[in-house]
Amino acid sequence: MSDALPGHGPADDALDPLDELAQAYLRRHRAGENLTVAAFAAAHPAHAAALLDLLPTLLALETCKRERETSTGGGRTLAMPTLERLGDFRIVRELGRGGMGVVFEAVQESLGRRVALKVLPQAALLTERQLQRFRREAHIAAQLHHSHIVPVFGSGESDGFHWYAMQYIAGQSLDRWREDEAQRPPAGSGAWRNRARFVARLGAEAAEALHHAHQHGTLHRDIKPGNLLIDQDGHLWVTDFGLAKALEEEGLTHSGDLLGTLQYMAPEQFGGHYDQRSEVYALGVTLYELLALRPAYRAKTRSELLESIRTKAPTDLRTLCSDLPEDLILVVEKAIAREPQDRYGDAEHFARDLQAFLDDRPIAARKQTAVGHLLRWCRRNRAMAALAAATTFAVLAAAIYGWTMYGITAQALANEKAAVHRAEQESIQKEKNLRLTMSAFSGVFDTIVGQDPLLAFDEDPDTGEAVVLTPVVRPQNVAVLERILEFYDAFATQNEANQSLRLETARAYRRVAAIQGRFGKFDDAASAYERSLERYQFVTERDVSREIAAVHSEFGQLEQRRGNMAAAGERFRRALQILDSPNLGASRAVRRERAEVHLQLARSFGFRGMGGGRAERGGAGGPGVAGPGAGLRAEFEAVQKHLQAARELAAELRAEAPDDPEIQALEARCLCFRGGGRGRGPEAIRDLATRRDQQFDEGLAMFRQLVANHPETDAYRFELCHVLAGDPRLLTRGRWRPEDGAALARELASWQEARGHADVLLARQPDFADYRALRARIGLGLAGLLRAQAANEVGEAQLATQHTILAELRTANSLADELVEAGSVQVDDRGFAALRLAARLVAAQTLVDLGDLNAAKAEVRAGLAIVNTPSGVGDRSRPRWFDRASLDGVQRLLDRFADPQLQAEVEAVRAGLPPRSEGGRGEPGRGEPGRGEPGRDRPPGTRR
Amino acid sequence: MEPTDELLEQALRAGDDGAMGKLIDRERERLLRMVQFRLDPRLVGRLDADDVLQEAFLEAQKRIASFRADQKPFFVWMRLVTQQTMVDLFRRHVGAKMRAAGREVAAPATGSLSGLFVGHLTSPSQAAQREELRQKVDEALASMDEIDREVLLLRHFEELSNKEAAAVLGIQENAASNRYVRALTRLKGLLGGLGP
Repeated sequence: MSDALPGHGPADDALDPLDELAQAYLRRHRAGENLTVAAFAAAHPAHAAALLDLLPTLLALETCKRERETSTGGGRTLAMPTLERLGDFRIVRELGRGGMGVVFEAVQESLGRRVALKVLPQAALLTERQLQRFRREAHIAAQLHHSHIVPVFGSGESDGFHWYAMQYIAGQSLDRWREDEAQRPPAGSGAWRNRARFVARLGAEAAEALHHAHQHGTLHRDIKPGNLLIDQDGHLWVTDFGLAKALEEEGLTHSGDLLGTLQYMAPEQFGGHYDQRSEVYALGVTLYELLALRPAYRAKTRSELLESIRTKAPTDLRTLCSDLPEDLILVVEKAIAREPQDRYGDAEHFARDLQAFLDDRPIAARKQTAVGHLLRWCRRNRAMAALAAATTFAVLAAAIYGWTMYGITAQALANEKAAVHRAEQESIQKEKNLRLTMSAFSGVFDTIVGQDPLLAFDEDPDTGEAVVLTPVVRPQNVAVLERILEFYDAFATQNEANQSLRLETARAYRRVAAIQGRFGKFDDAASAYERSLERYQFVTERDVSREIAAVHSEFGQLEQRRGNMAAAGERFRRALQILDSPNLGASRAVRRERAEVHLQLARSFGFRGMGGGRAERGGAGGPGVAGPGAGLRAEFEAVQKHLQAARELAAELRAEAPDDPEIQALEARCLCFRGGGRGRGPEAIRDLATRRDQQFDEGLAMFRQLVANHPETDAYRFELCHVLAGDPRLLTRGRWRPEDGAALARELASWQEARGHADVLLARQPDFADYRALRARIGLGLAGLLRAQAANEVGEAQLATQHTILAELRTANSLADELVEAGSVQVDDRGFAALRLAARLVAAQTLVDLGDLNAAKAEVRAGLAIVNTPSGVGDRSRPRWFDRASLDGVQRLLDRFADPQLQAEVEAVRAGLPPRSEGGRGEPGRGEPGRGEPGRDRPPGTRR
Repeated sequence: MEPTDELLEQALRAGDDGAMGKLIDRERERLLRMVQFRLDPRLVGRLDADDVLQEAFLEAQKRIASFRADQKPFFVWMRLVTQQTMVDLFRRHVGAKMRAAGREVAAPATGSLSGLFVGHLTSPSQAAQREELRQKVDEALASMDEIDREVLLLRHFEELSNKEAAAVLGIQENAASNRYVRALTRLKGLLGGLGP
């Protein structure tokens, strides 16, 4: 208001004090003073809090007022008198009126050159700050030199007008081109393709220009067809760099242009974010428009327009132009992805992919679309739905999408049988949908399985982009996957001619097998591997032998875990045979795979040498290599041979690619490998053992480094756990003597480290049987080591250690019991049963030491139950070495209980065991430390 | 009011009809703003705010007696005349099938905003942000109690002083001021997190 507001006086005591201050602020704000709320509040400390609270709202109202004022007919228009001359420029004609003034064709007389002269409205309408900015941006734009950027000659002010002189481009802007094209009568079928190439070429050139500008720190800020020019030679020019920004704020962009410009705004711009990916988007939307010959987004009103940009994808280009190349569509779709992170990271990659399309090379944008949509859905809805549910949804959606699309096109195909030409088109469409579906499917697999290096098809050009999502894998997701896989399998069988479908099905089975393996469902995993291999046989169009070798190798590892050592060895040999084929060449990847298989082969012998394959040798052979038979010696040599081969390859690869983590892991595996003879033996072998200890430490250090460098790769962490908690030195040491204190402490530290890593793994994937079994085994191992430590302690310290032992065993037992209940059991059942039994007995002993006899009895009974229910694969009548030995240990405990009932129970169990005669001599092949005193202080059993 | 305004008002009351032109000229901007904000959307495009004001000016001259009979400040009276003129214009242009005339005019201009194209002198991104803000404010205003809304519209959009707003609303000045602060607080609550 015009009357002076009373500052402090009583004149207007009708005014609320806050009202008074608000009016004072408002008056200064309306007068154009740049006064921040904070500064004003600071000047009125008594009301500072209330002012900070209310003034932003007041400013919001003021902003709205300004918007309203201009919305209802009050908009100022560009007053631009007819110009004939402006300073040095002779105006030839008006080329057009745009958002930031009028563009004239002019001649700069002093230089005699033809220019495009952009004239801003009279300076009176501009603030000094805008003018400064305009000059600065014009200056920056003048620094950009690129074959596709319209050169800026300079800017200045004459007769009260600000101007901006650029090279005159004789041609047309792409919005005009688009209008002309749309006017033309529909051309023949080749026209779309020709136009597609033309547009892709223009797009690549524009993207290059943008990239150049971005590299020089300039954003264009107003990419749209109107700012892309083609000259008479078809050369593309980007114009008006940075002008939009220069005139921002109270700027000059005239209302009439706004709707036009909004169409090209990226969704994130409404949130105030703008970067090079927003320009990728704007260019993408521009290309869409040039291809479809209509804008990507159209709306009558601005709010409708904003709403559709924010919430809808533009109409599928495939439905607008039938024979547009799929690859180009994918490139454009990637550029206009709603989420900036789903787009090309910068204009250069966009340009590159457009060029790849032009050169008929594979594009990087593949595999976005369907899977991208689904994953985005998951990402957006993560807050609403549990991740597991979202993943399940994604799987289902992929399946439904695939099937409906197939159904629709198949139906269309059936209806149109007569129209051969049409049918051909439909058939192409069907192929497209199929491919999309298959890639969605494999994408979902990747998502569910996570980025496991063992499962990544790292050199497959079809795989496209990695999806950075590591969801928790749940058994129920796998169940869904299996169901879908059945569909696909049937589908693939019906479409035998479709090679890519076959291949995808083969791969899908392989992935399912890997997941089943992780959940400990070995039989299901094995049959999935078999199916995978069967499907691979039908793939003839391309060489998939490397993939087949990988499946054999994975299958072999599964067989190892099932305890089928012979079958495992057979698989590894098949894999090696394939990999050794000269057709595969000697690329780094192939050599690495060879080395891995050699190592697996050495390991599979190693297991047998260590007693795992004892039964297959008919129970013959003495402990370790102390009394080696001929067969054993041959095995030892075979192990050495494969190990040697693996090591040589690893060394070679390491020299070539020292930074490749997979190669580092390979070398670490080689170093940590212990197989064949070990422990007591001839001098030479003892020396070998010492050398191996050193190598082992080296390998351990490498694994630690790998985990430190790649904390997200669970596979490395898993292996590190095994190395830390599987140090065979522990097994060779036997019972810990008091003088072993230092070694014991080292060992304990190592297992505790392993426990930490296992906890990380379990937190990430609580349902993986491998991780649960690992954690259970570590718990038992720690309990064993702690018992040895407790033996050297007295009083409080001993008591504390004993309670820690019980806590570790509780963890181990509950994990182990859950695994048994869930039906997923690790390694072979025998080893696992031995582990559970040992855990019960160690707990019973500790409880006896603590004087809690009742709890000890309960543990003994739990142990007896394990002996009593021999579970497992293979020969059930075969005695388990640990059963009888454990009973001996139980017997010694019982002597302290004097409990006839428990005694009777033990006798009953003992009576039920198979006779001792067949292989009942403990576990000699392992050099079992506790032999003769089984069950006492026995450290954990198996090392894999 | 500046003394000269008061003198003019006194002169007008005393019978100097010529003072009205000068007074209206001084209040023209605020009256125009009121018209812009409150003109029914169905009239936008058919009528310019200037046309409305022109009509109102003619109307005011006809009704000068009512100003002299009343004690209302000139601006408040003129504003009423302008509002009434808008109602009449609406009747004439849109027809008689409307609800209570007063409501048509007094209703906040919320409806008139959505269909309009905005964005004068702003960059696209800013315009978009403002559009968002405006929608939020419009929604918040629409959900408010009528007097609260009115007091904000008068004080902010029409830039009335507290005294004038009180006169328009027919309440005491201190009540109007309290009401204003309270309405601002409520609006703040409705808008939620606005940056400082």
